[in-house]
Amino acid sequence: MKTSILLILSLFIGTQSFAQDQSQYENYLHETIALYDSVKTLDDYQNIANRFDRMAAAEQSEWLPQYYAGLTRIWMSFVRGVEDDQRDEYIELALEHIEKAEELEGESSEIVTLKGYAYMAKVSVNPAIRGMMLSAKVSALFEKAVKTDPNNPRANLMYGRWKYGSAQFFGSSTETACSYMSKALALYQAEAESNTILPHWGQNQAEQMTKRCSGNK
Amino acid sequence: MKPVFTLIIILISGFLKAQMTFSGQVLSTKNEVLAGVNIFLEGSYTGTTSDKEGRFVLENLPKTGVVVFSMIGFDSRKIDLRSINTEQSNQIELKEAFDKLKAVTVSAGNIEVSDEQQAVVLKPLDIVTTSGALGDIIGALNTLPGTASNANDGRLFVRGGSANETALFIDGLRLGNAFGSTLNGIPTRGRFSPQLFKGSFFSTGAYSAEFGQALSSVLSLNSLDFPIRNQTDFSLMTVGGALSHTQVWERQSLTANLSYTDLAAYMLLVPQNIEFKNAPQGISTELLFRQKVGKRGMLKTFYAFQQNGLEVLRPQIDEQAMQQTELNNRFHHFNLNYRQDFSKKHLLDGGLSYSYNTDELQIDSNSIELLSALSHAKLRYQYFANSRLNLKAGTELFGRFYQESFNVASRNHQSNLAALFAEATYYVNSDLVLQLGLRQGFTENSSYLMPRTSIAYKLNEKSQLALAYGDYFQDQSPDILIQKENLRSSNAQHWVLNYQYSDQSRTLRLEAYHKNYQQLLRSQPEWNTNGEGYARGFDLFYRDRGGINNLDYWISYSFIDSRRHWAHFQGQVQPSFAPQHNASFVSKYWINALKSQLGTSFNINDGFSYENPNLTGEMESKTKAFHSFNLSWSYLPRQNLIFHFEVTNVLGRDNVFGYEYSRQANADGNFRSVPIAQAAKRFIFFGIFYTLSTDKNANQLNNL
Repeated sequence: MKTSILLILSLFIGTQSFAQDQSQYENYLHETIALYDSVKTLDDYQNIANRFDRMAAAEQSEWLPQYYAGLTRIWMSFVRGVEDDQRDEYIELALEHIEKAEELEGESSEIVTLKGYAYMAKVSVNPAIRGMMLSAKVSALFEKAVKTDPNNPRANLMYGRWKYGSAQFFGSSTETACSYMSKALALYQAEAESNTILPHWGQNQAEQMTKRCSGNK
Repeated sequence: MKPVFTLIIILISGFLKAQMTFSGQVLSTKNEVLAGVNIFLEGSYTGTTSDKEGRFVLENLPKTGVVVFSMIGFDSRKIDLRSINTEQSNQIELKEAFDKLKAVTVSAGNIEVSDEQQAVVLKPLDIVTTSGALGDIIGALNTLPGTASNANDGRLFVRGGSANETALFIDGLRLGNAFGSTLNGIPTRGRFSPQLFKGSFFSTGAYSAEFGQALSSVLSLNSLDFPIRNQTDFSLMTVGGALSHTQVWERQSLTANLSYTDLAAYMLLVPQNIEFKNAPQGISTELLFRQKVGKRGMLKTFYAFQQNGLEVLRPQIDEQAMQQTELNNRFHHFNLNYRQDFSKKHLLDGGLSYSYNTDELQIDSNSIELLSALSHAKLRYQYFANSRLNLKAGTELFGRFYQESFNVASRNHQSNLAALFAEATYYVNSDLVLQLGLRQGFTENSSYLMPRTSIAYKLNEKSQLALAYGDYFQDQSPDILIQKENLRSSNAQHWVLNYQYSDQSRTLRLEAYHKNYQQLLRSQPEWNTNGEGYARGFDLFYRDRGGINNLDYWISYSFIDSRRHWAHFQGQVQPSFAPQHNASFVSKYWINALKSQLGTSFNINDGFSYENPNLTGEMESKTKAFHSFNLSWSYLPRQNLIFHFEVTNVLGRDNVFGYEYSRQANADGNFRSVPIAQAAKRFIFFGIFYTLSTDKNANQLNNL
């Protein structure tokens, strides 16, 4: 009797590693997000992207792995030394992940922000040609993200960054751009909780950008 | 005993659970090391990434299961754990994935104006920013290879073909009377603003089976998809003004344009070579409505109304009296297009278009009224069998009505045309694509089969070679059929050989072609279709948009050798609209400090052939070379405000397009001549374009 209980128990333990439960999902997500802090090379990013891809493949109903797989690709496209063709490839892949996240979670402020970020990356590959064609699209996406959730720090940050870039290009005032970024910074400070699996990136950027803004005055 | 037994069982189950190690190296089929490959146990998080040497070690694997190897640009590969050798390192090969974006493209004859691909000749934005084009789609296309610019006409002349051998489509549906009505010697323009379109497909030969009723060329414009926001645009120009508003709802959008043109004030300031009793003036309205249907369907409707008029007073070569001519044009076009993706594999689209045009002419005391109507219905189905095979089939119907009235007498003509088409595109691999198409056309008393085929081969990452053949029929136009019925359709065969090189910023395109014409229309001794002819030559196009900072330029040259036995001619002649040497140099330079774009273009050809009755032979003479140097300046002080200034023919060259001769010889036996000159030496344009939108960055270029 005892043996058979043990047998069943041990088999149960044996199959445990196959079916990921919620805590394992969250732990793995935490662990992978934490890897962003130690990223040094493109390979490190690739490793993170692969981890999110594996999660995305195993957890077909979760939007976060898709979201982070997309975000990682956008960041990869900004790594110094990556060639333009490769950058475009990363951005296209990011957009595929973002589309899947959108199918699962809808057009939430976070997802729309990320989409805008991807198109912004696309513009940065070739600003002279793509700027004119895509700028309306990028603006519209960030505008929508801010409208959907005015208190999303990332939506405010990215919209501000985008406006900042356009203002610089056209030599106009960066005031509105900066107001979005200082609002973003305030929201980040209120958000405070960085120990979450929900998107919480961007505080450093907000700090740097607001510093740059006050430097301009 | 019992505890030992339990221990064994635990050990066994542990062994079953995670005991295997799978290690090895990932290579491409070309034997290159693949780093960054995602290697994982299917359905789990267990996995790793291959290192710089492509090596990997997967530990703690169960005895059964599938390991997936996945990497961008390669086909994923699944390996059953039971089939691997755990004792030693395994070599895993990944095959490069088929990627349509990187694969060879069907390129012969085609010039795509799009944002989708890197290697396009022209971007939609280029149309409005090409100096000398004056914001006209056709004007910009006239700087491309394969075209011959006839500046006193304004229409599209492609590879020795006359203007009516080019067919225009909006969203796949035929546009009747595609150019504004005008009088001889006063150039016309395309009907619509380039801002209404997101891209276009222009073919100078050997186009696909989808297109018919065009002997030489096809220009297919795609109207805008769903706009992204509400926007109001104002423009004020030396020749008029325009107002446009776009309203966007959740699933619908409506764009309304209204523009008014009046050249009276302009003509007071800038001298004209023609005496205008009434300067050209007109109004134009457009309504675009879009409705999203279901998840992937879209209904687009487009309605345009235009009304234009002008009146001129011109000397006549054989008479003392001036001739007074007045023209009033009214034009309606309605276009309805529906598109439905059933899944990623099936796509159905189609629509209806109707164009209705009337021209009222008053020549001295005679009144002439011309009415033409064209309806077109089209249905197309596309099946994407897999990433390499795409099938397309469809049907179309055309109905034409034409009526001409001279004072009180009137006559009309009505005819219907139909066609079926089918086409398969197959990618043998990333480097080789084949396209096979067949089109069957039906007129009321005949039918004809037109094979079309194309093959393209990628030589290396940046260049490709393509060859295409096509057979084309075009029915005689209603203004001829009204005079004589049952004329056969004209026929042409195209052969095109194309080489294309493109990298991030440069494009080089070389194309050689041969075109055979049969059953061309002749007017001697009476209307018949026994004419024939040919056009052959080559084009060269080079564009560089990154070599020098902020400078974008292109050079295009076309050589056309064309002879036709047609119209009233006794033998084969070079048509007046097909100069042998044609070239364009276009440049755009962005000056950041001035927030301005400086544009220049220089168009040149070696002269137009014409017939001098004082000499023997037909079309034996040639005018002096045509030159036009054009300059433009666009200033964007803010992103939503654009000032645009443009001057054509800055150097003021007196271009001549041919000569008109008196019908009777004078006492010396000579025929007197008058040159057919430019309507005006220069065209000067100044405009202000202002956009209001919730987004301050929006301007009138953002649709392009």
